Amino acid sequence: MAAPATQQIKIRCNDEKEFTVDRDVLERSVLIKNMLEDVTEQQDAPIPLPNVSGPVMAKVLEYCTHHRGEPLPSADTEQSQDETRKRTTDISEWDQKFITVDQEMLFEIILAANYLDIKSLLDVGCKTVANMIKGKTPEEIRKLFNIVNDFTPEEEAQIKKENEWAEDR
Amino acid sequence: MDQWGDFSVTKIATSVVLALLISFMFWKITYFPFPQKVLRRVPGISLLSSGQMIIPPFVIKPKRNMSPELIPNLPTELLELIFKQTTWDALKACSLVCRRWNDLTRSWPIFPDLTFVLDNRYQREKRDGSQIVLHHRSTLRPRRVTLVCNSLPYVTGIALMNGGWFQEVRFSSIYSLRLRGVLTEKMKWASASLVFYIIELDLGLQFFESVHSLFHLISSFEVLETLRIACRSPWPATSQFQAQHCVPQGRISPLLRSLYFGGNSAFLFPYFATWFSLVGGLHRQSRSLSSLSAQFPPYIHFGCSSPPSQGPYNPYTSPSPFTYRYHSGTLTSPSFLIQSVHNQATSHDCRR
Repeated sequence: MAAPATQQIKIRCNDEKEFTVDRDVLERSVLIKNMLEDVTEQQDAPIPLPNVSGPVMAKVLEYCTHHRGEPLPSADTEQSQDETRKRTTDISEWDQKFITVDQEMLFEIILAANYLDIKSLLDVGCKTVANMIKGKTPEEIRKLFNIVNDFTPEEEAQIKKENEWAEDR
Repeated sequence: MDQWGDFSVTKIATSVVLALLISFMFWKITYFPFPQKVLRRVPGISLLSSGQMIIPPFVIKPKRNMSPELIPNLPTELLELIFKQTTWDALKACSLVCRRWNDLTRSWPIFPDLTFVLDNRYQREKRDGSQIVLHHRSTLRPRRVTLVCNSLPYVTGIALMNGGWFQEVRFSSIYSLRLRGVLTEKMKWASASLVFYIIELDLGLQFFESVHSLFHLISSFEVLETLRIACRSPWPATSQFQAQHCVPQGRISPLLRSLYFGGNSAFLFPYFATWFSLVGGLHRQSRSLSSLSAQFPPYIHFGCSSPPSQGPYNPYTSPSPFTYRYHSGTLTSPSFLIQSVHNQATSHDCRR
């Protein structure tokens, strides 16, 4: 028998910050959903989430609350989405506002979404980064993300030559 | 005179004092513009024992919101997810960012929308002297040939499809000088169905009456690919009419053609031998494949010759049944037109 939607679940982050959230909100996370399904008896002890900090979890919960009630992607739809997902960087208006955070928070959200297995949030995060990359030169991308260029000039020339294969595409 | 003398002495004394003062100020500004106690606390500025100041050309302060550690250290699977969302141009830029990103962008099938439609409906029906007249057989469905490029710029796989966009891949062959182990599984299945496929597919009497012809078709992709790199030309054309304008791009000279033949024939025999041995016994396949990959000749680069000759085209001495030359207004290609299709729907097929 499914648990009532109003059931409250406690979670504890790695900075000891605790949240009490509706079960259906938390079940946006496949990780937590599976954990809750594995536990048959109701427990008062909070679920420990050692890989997520309080501020990041607050953002994740904001996303999950907004998208509560939406159907979770099944394995089949995930596969078909994998095909159509490529090069579709459209993000809904609410999601765009939600993800307008500084880079550090953005990547913490991506890592948290990956850890908590929230596919839709992970998609939003990755699409946002993809949009940040779009239209930039390699040098601009390096500056944006503070990445060191470890290519030798010869290697760089070789890659450019290889990339020419589809230059006029 | 005295007055003149007093004036001179005053002027000289004033000048000397002023000069000394200016010199002192200049020395002071050069060596001690600020108190040393203050300067020593400024990061990035060093003071020599003589008091001289060394200021680096740029003091780079990280901007707010920059996360120097996070991005380069993102797990591979997340970076791949990000790259999946990027456009082709962005992917190319990402491949030039750093080694790690280069590896990740190259491991992803980077030409998901690169598909060539092999339109075999143009059949070579009759001869008129040296000219070949094409006849359009509308009852035939076009075949589709998909190039799989897992590693730029080399074609790592070729898939032939029968008919529509979403039909099952009937035949998949690996033709690459950079054979990759990950595609071996594909090859197992494909090799078993090779002979069956040729009989059933009936891709045209002229060019698919033998395995040899089929391999010429497949092997021609290597030349096309190389030509594309060498010519930097917008080839293949997107339609028959555009294809007629491909002439200025040049063609393979006889010398290069012979080189191409020489290069190909060197591995065609072991290639056939391997294929047929594979059909007979799949259990020997992995061993044969490894020997096959060792037998591939090195990658040969072809250049483009000067403008093409207007001589008659001889289909029997052509390097490939898959010809890409069109002489002034007269279609001399034997049977096939190739179209490049940029279609999102093809991405699924290419990744198979």
